[in-house]
Amino acid sequence: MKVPLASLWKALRLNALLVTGGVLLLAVISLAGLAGVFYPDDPFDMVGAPFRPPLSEGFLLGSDSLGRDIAAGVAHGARISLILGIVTALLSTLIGVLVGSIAGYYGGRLDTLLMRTTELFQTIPSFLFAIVVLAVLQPTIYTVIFAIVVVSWAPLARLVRGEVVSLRNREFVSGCVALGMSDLQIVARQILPNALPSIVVAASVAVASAILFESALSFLGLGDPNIMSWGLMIGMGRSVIRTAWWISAVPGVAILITVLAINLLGDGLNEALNPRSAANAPGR
Amino acid sequence: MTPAQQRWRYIRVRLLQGVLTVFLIVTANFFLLHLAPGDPASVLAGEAGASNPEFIAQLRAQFGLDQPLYVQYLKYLWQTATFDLGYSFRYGESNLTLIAGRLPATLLLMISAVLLSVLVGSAAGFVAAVYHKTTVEIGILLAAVLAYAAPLFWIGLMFIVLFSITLHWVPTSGMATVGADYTGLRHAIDVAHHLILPAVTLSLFYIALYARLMRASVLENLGLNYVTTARSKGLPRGKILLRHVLRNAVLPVLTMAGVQIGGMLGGSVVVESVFGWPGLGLLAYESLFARDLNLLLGILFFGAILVAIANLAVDLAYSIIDPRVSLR
Repeated sequence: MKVPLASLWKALRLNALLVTGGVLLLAVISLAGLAGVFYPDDPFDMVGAPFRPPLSEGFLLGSDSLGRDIAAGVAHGARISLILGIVTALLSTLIGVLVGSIAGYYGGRLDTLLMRTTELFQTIPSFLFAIVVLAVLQPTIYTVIFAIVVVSWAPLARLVRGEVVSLRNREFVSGCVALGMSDLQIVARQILPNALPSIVVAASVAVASAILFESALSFLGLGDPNIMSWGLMIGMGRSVIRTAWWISAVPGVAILITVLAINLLGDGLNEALNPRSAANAPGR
Repeated sequence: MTPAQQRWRYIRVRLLQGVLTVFLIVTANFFLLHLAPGDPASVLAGEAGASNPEFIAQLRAQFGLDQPLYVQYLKYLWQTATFDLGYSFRYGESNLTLIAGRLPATLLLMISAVLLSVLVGSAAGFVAAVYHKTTVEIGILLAAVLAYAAPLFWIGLMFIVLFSITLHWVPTSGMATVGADYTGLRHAIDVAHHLILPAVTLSLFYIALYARLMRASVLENLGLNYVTTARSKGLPRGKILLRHVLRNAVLPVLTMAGVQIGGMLGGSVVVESVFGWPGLGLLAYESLFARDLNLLLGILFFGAILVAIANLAVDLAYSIIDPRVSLR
């Protein structure tokens, strides 16, 4: 009875990944959505005594060195992390799909040129590059998004190109060419939908990476200074970490949970959508 | 072509690629400076907080700001290519000297982290695959998933709280005990003691990644024909695993490790600034706060060179370990 046991194990694993990831992410999304309801005031407002530990009167998660409510900061920070993660991942995916499908579909010199350029972008020390971009242009939410997109579209372009190349010479594509469909129609309506599962999985990974990347930037003081974000909170708690460890600890847990949720969902989606490649992908 | 000729051709192609990346970075640096409001000299001088006329005059001369843009660009390219990276008024030293002085600490941290992540990551992944479908595997995967999702700088801070402030096992920051002036072996032990936390923090994410990769790779190898052959010859399981599977399975991990050296350099900026480790990353962090943009640009330039060299070295090492890999 080897086969049923193996498939049972697989099904259990898959459901555990999707359910755990889904529940955690839903919790973070609700937190972000309800931040304005629970904490209608500006999270930068000082609302009580400083350095209150978690679970003290009026402060579920404690207060920071200026008497700001950490719970309010975490709730408002959820918004910016999710929005920023999703917007940067969408933009990177868009560029990746454009570059990757042009390179993969047309091949030849154009392919070589585009892929060499992609490789160049992949060998840029991405974090240092983002730091320089933000140090020269002032850090606002737009420049942060720009800096992250510049260093994260390349892997997506390579992935899409690989998928398009493997699909381009299949019979159904040749059939479309014979029918006289335009290149745009073939790529957009026939090839890309078949590559969608891999793109969705890679895009979900990109959301998680963007959230981590942004938190590291704002920890170093390169985030938008007018927006309460998790990285900024950790950075502000750093100088008082000897006496008030929770100021840095709490927002870090929020980042951990969010990234974990997205990664688990990505793993689950990968197993569900790409059953054939599942054996070869990392972590399967 | 003989293999040796092939290898040389490959090195040339890779070198060219590295030079192109560095060129791209320098070009980006130049145009970023021009994108910023004000001319580059006033940006650099004003931001550096040292806006004396002498400094601005020196900067204007350095950038040739009275000349057309393409001349300025060529001049900037030439200066960078000859490693003339300008002077830091804040530190009172040339940027090149500053960067070169910080390079050894970063190299020590990065090499330790690469070794640690490849060794521990492969070992953990190997054990997980050998104990497939047991609690050992689940435990390792769970730990990997957690380490994979945690921000580096936060783990570093939590390590400091736990291991330095609470348990007093390791120092909180720096590379050597201040004022101790140890020499020889005593100094090496002191540095190693300071190195533990930063190196572990920097490698944790990669340990998790390689553990997952190694596990998948071992499981895949176990299903291949050569394992069946070895088993039918009557080789014991332990021998098959250690002599045959381990060697083949570790190759994807090495490839990945090579690709990720650039990413690790980024991680070292964060880790060095958390632990006060006096390398390039901390210098970048300090120059960020001093608004010493010229120094920051120099560090990015050096970082790009470092990554290009590392990529080349890894490709060559890989082709020596696995002769089947044909170098393009």
